[in-house]
Amino acid sequence: MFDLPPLTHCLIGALLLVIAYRLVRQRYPDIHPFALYHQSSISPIRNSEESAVHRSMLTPFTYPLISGLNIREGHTFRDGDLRDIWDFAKKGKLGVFDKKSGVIEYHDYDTELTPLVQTVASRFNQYVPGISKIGIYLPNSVENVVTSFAAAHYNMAAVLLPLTSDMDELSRYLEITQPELLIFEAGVLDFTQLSLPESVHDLVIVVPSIQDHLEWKDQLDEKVGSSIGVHTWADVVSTESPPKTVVEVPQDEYNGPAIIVPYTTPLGKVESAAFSHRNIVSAVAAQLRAVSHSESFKSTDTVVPVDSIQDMYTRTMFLAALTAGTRVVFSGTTSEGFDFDALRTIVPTIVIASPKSILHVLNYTPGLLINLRLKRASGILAAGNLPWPVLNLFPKLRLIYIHDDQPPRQATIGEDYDNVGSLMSAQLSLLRALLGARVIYTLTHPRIAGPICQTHIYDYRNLGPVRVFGPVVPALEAVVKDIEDLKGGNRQGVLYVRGLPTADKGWVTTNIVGEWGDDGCFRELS
Amino acid sequence: MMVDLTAFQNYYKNVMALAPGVNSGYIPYLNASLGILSVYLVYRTIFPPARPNGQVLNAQQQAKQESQPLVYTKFTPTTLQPFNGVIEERVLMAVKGRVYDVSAGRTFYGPGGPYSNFAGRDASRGLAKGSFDEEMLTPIDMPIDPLDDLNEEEIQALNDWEQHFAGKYLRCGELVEEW
Repeated sequence: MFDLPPLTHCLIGALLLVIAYRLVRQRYPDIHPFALYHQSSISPIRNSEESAVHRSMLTPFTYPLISGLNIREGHTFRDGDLRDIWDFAKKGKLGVFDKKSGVIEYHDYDTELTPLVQTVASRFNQYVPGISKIGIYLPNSVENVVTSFAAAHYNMAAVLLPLTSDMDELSRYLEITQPELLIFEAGVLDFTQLSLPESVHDLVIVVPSIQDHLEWKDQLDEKVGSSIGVHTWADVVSTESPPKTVVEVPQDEYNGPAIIVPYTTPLGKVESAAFSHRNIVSAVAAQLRAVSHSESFKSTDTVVPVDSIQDMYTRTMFLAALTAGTRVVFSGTTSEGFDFDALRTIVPTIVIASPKSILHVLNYTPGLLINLRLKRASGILAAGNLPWPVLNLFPKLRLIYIHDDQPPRQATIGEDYDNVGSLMSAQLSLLRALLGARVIYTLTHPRIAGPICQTHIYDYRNLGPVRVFGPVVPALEAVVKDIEDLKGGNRQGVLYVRGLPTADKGWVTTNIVGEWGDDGCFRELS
Repeated sequence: MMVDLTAFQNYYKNVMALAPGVNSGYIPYLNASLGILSVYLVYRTIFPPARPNGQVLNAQQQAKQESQPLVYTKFTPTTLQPFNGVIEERVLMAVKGRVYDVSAGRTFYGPGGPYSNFAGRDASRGLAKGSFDEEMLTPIDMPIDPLDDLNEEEIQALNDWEQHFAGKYLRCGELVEEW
């Protein structure tokens, strides 16, 4: 043995070194593969013509589905409502990134925003006595948050109008939701094309600078005629002639709609979904439970909703971030897509985005070094660990929520998609490698608050060109039912869900055709 | 990868010349394999395989073999009868119009068990009366036992039994009349 030549000794030494390095650096996967292949709790019995009921592993059968925030009150627990979310939010901060100056301006809940909520609610009651619906057409801003929470606190419904630039579409949304007051940003609405329904009695303009608010007001006065009152945000929040206070509704009265979201069906029909406090709170609570405590929203996080919080999914995630007492920062952009400069300054740890927004990241410029690093990253992901980011875009980013951004669908098999609105498993894997962050991809529906299904935070599997959405959230249970040739018995069909986050009672059809995989994840069939 | 080995071979010849008596014809092969192994391991350390590893494939295989859910079925006395553990593998039993899958309690309700008479039949009357005899069973071609002649004690006993079944076994269907 010792008669071996020195080169052999060197080689043996090198080999032992490599083996030792591998042993020392060996990492366990973030989650055991067994758990990745058992992501749903499946009922042992099913009805004919449908699949077994699938639930989250967190709420197996014999356990109740998540109904609310479980707020302790003496010896009992209650579900809570949006007012409780506001109280939780006081632990955190609300910031707005100002693009011109490049700084984040923080707003304090106790001294600034809470009094503002009261003032706004009182003023709106003064403008339109007995107001019940407030139409909101605002980008992500303090005004948007304050107005919607003013509605939540004083028994009004906030109508979240999608930020469309098509005035005919907006007219239809206004027609179906019938708000009594409309609040919008100066210069975004074209009143020559927009037809206001008769229910609208007052308009409130949010003017960027105080100096020219009279100018805007005069312009608008001419256009809408005298039957409709016109005010500016400055009028609303002014401390002169303080409005008479409105009475806060008692704790247990939260059955009316809190948020109304209009949307267009694939057939071109305009519908609206009304969510009660219970619907929203259960969806928010499910979000906080669905991800393990160590990875969920924490008070140290900086959360940036890149998309508009007028969208119900983004709104639910925003509310979940508020509930966890995080620092929420609005990036101050209305256009779609990452504003890289803004995000570099904000340094987010969690981003809530749509596939369109992150398309810029996926369209990276490949190079030899990047390709090699991607090869290494994909290997690390396959072993069940998170790699270092390949593109050093956001140093602290740890989690991205992406929702499937398809318009509501019709139940047909093999539907055509524009590829922009949704991402394949392979693309999500690429995104994890590029950003070195965990990705949660979710399936949404306009009649359901929050997502229906979402991928597991530790699920890094690259399943190729399929749209995989993961198991159902813990507030819902789901089945697929027979359609055409697809049989529920084979776990294929149209997705139906039941639970508190749905705007309707009982089983709700989502018109999404898909199947349950062996791993308990819902995947779309195409 | 082509490696010119002549330099190495010359080197070994020298080494062997210095240490006579050692049979070292295998040394070049040993070195080559050690080298290849080290290079491969270094490569795999930098670029781990992107294919799912054995543990993942195992889990995947296991998930494929999970048992399928049963279908909730409406049984008639005739269609229920084969489920006695002999004709059909599963053992079913009806209590108060509800059919339970008692396959897990095969030693009691299956063939040869003390309650085997009840397998594939409506066991309500027998359970109520605390008797496991053949005469407690309603014949297959007769209508389902309405159970309206039971006294209070027997109803209580039957309800207890039903609770026992509901807690322990899977309810997989219901018993309905044939016509």
